[in-house]
Amino acid sequence: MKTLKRFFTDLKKYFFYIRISAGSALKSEVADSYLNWIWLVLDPLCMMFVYAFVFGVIFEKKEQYFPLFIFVGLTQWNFFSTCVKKSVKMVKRNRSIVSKVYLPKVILLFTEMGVNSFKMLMSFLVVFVMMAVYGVVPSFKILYVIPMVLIVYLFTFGVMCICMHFGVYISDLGNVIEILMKLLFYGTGIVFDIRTRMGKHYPELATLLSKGNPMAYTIISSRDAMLYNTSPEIKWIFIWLGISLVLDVLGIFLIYKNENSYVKAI
Amino acid sequence: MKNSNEEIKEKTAETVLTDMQDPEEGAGGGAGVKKKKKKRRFGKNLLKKMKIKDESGKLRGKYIPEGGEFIPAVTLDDVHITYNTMQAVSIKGSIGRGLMHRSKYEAVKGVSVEVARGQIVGITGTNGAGKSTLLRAIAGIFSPDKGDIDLHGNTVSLLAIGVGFQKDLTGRENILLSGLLLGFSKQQIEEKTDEIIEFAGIGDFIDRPVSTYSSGMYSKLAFAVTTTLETDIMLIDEVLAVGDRKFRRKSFRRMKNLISNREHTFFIVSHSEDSLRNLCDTVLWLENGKVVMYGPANEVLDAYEKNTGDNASDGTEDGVAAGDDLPDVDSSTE
Repeated sequence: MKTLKRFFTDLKKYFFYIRISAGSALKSEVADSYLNWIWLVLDPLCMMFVYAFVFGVIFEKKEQYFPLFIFVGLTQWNFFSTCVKKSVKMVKRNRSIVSKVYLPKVILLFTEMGVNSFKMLMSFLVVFVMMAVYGVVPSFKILYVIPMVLIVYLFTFGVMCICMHFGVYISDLGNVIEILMKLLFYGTGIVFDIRTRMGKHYPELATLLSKGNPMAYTIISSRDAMLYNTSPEIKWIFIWLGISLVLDVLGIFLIYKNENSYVKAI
Repeated sequence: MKNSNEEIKEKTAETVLTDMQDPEEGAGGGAGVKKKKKKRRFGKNLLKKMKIKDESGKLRGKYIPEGGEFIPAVTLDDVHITYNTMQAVSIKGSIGRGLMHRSKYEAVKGVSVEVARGQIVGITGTNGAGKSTLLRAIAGIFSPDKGDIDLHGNTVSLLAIGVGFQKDLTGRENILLSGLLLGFSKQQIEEKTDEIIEFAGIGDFIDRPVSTYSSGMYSKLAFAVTTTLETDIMLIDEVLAVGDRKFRRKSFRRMKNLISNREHTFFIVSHSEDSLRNLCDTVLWLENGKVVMYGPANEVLDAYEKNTGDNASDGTEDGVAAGDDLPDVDSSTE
């Protein structure tokens, strides 16, 4: 209880720092390029065209509204995968800060999440524009995206805590995570529909992935809600919210218990 | 050069002021130190652990303002710090040895010291004595493995140069960022921003990205930020003066003023005995993580010099750790 209280106090205390720091990280990222802020939209957009070309044209596997289908997936996936990958070397990367002042280490995670939240927001805006272009008319079911994004946030934070902690001590965790992310990219079904494509030959695996992989679940449900006017299974919303929250609490305890020795290890 | 020991009991604020010299004026400790008798109220536990006694058999190293009383600012009680180096190992390296490769190194082994508000404590000792480790523990960067550090509710900061500076941001934005990291509120920083800019004296560059600064300008701004945003307890690790000759003089004066107004408690780690002699009223001599001596600056430093022999000349000659002791100006952003 004490740790959780401290967590919320720190969050409140450093909220402004997180904002400023995330803003400046974004600024640094685009500072040297000609197109500047436009890259934040252009980057996922280009990736979408690549995937749409490879899978849509070359393999001729098309879902309905294929570019949109991919883009909705990429929006959430990029947030998750960038955050998690960055969290592994988080303490080391911020050595110049954490070895000179005390900063609750979870704040570093929130800064990274802030950076990627902005990118995700931009991405969502593009999705809405594209929906208008494709003439997709959403119903009230589009509101189901909200709990989905909430799950993505909570789940990502929990995974980040764990990755940051072990990343301090195990230097090649970065490589392992990189490979896992590649694998998970296909196990999440960003460029194809798990239920139909995988389900054709491996129905059990498809069900397992679409429910048991939270990223797959949120992305499939978001697509259903936004593009195909379908409601998700409510039961699974609560299951994944619950699991993510437990993961968060565990992560917070792990970080607060050990954060004082991180500086000694780097 | 050296003061005679007998004359020095405790330095008062005034004497510290007269003692200190600008870097350009050459070395030398001050003379004319007043004698003072003070009541001392150390805890029994601490009393036992510190071996330094004056003629009357009492512990020393306490600054008591005139007419005031001993207000504790920092209490270190049997502080042990172990580098439990669960070292960052590769997976290959960890196979067969468990996931974490543990090797222990105790950097600080039971330090007990009580420091009063307004006291200026120098920390000396050979390399690897545990000076910086102790300093960082006081700053809260990591916690002691055993023992207790009580800051009595005071705010603390390690005077590190350029904490959290981002090279793509302007000087003004970096002041805010660095200040927030040091634990100040936005309002507090905004109140001090003009003062910081004025002291840094880098003109219009304040609104340009830090990446366009010369290293001198960078240091000036960084120094201005850390010394203008004051905390109750300030920790200095070999950072006393930066920049060109003119700015060094200015920054030394700033340090001197900060130190001499006696509102802050200082810990200064330095290899330069002359600068410690000039700035500190008390010195803590550490060796192998243990306290060798803790007492009036001149007395401890004399003993230290005698003990280390030739090493004693290692200190910089001009009474301030400058130039070769420049802090690591770290502008790393990724």
